[in-house]
Amino acid sequence: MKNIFLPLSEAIRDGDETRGLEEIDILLGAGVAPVEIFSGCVEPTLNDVGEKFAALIIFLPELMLSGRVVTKIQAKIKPLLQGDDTDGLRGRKAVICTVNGDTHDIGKNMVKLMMEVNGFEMHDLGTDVPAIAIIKKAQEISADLICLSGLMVPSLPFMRETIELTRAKPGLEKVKVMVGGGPVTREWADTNGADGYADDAVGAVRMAKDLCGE
Amino acid sequence: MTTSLVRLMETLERARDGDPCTNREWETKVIPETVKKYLKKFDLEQTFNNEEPVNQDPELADRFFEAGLSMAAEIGVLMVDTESVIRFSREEILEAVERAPDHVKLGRDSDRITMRTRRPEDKIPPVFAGPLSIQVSEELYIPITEGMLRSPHVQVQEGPSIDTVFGLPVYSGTPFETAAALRENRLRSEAQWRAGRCGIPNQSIASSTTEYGQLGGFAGQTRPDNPAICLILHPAELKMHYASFHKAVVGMGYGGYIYSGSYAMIGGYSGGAEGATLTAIATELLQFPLMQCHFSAGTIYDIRFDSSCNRHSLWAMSVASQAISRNTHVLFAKMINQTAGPGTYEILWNCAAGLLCAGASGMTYTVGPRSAGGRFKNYITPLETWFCGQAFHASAGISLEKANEIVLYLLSRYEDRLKEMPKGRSFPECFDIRTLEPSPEWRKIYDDVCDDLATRGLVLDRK
Ligand code: B12
Repeated sequence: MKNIFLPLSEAIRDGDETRGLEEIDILLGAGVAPVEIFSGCVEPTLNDVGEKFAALIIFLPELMLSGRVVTKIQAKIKPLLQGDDTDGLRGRKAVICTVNGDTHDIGKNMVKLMMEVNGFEMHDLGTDVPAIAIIKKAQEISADLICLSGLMVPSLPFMRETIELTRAKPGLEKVKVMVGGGPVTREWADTNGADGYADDAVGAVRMAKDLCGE
Repeated sequence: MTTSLVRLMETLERARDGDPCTNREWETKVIPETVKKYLKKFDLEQTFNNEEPVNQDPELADRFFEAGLSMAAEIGVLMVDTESVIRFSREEILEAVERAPDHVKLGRDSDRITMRTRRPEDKIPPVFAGPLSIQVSEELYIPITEGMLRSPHVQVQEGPSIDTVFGLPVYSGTPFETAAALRENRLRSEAQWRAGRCGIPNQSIASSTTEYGQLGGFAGQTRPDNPAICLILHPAELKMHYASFHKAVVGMGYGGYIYSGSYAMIGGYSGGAEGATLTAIATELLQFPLMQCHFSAGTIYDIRFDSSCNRHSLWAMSVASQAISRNTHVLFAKMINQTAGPGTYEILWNCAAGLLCAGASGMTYTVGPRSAGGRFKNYITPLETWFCGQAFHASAGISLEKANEIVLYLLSRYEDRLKEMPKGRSFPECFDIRTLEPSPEWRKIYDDVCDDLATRGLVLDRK
């Protein structure tokens, strides 16, 4: 990584929002292109953060704080990216939650975080969320994606119900539904009308990008 | 020990009056910072020992205990519905621990057992409950359960759970769930009667995914001459919610035993193996003033592997168990989370490693197995359930040194493939549903593993 990016990279690692935004000002002031800030600093830093997480050098709270800094940076840089839009930075909107009756949230939080740092605008409704609330939110924000997490077999009927309701609602024809979590398999996703499935957070980002046509 | 609903209401009131704290702040600041502070203060950083998944250093366990107790008295528990903190002083925690029983009598007639406090290397056998709340078809509930209860090593019954009620899906948190609880009670009785285990103690309504099943079904499950165990799992380490209090109210109100706790996740809010160990101890100790529990749980889980049979988890489970069993008289449990499925060598290696580590480290009680991670319907069979009970009981009297030697060997059989553990086969695929006997292939795998373990010093009673 170029020296000029080191302070920003450090701010992301430390989860320091204020310093992160200051560093962005400095870089933009020095004439660095927004796209380069991403490819030269944010992405490699995030890759490294991910590897450190896998090796138990850092943990979920650090990951969440780093993710937050990156989200703030994205919000600041997005308006500056007219002509040179990059992969994952088109401000795609997604609703995410754990479905009705289910309060398992660790996997859902990891998926949300990875999607967020990859440029998706995530609207997290939390856990134990009824289908109708998911649909309403998707309509309200004109979502591109609905991401449903469920860890228990009894969560599956609620997932299916949400998929069916999405298909039936006018205005949501183009919304793609992605599913995941313990008992969900690719086969279940296919037979129950979901558009995408992934078994981990990295796969979820890949699938989300595919579904959004990137 | 008798529990007091009045005291529970006072705790609930404390939740309403507690200092405010948001969920986000709790997860990203309060837990990680407090854990780091106590790891540093008690010189516990970087103490994970790769060569000792079964801890050999009692002084380390004692230091973890002191740190866990001090941390518990500072941090308290976040009540997520009100976003406020419930705290207990060191004295209150110690007083509640002191009040907790050192033994409880469970079940009736020939199924009567006593769960007793244990120390590391104890000769007193621990108590085994089987299996976890794993979903099975309504029509397979009775054969699977009857099969499991044929082994005397299964001493308490928790699961499995049903995924339909009279053929309709069990939508959790709706009247379908409440009805599923009543249906489960009936099916349980039938299976227990067929297996000749009418006096076996029951634990929780396994089909209760929210509080509804427990609220509707507990009264029908517990009996004055055979009080049921009310399982209360909180939303995360050092967190609480109203659903837990709901369950405690019926558990206490109907004279059941209270068994409460939560997971401490390696890679999660508390950090690495050392952080999760500390949080598990604090979580465990806080259950006594918070829930007036008869026994507590602070299960260790590694979110990188979805397992507690990897080296870091085993070490953390061993240290945390030794910390509690060396320094208190309380009864406690942790779950062993297997990821391999039925009909494979791997699941038996997962089970043996976890249960031997737990039993030798002084654990009193556990519930299992979690075949195939508990993720797939009907992926549970009586054979691995029997094996778990047999292995847990065989761990009594094994030295920590011997246990470590065997666990290291078992790790060498599966550790490098933890992320790709085989899903295995479902109950109808590897069991005869009529005779309730395992298929010859599944039986052979079981015999191979038992023979291998016997040559290494862990002799299972194959009943
Ligand atoms: C931790 C845990 C808990 C904790 C939850 C803590 C929390 N805040 O989340 C507590 C103790 C509270 C809990 C409670 C219960 N649990 Co629980 N729990 C688990 C456990 C052990 C681990 C789950 C976990 O966090 N894994 C780690 C994360 C990182 O993995 P993950 O969630 O799978 O997510 C990854 C992928 O699946 C994917 N993904 C996830 N979501 C999404 C979404 C999309 C769109 C995509 C693309 C991908 C994706 O990416 C993630 C990152 O890699 C599982 C066992 C298991 N094998 O899953 C049981 C399990 C899920 N629980 C189970 C049960 C039964 C319960 C209870 C009913 C127990 C009880 N009797 O009270 C309650 C139910 C509470 C409720 N109403 O939800 C069962 C479900 C059985 C079944 N198949 O139906 C399991 C399988 C355990 C078992 N019995 O074997 N549980």
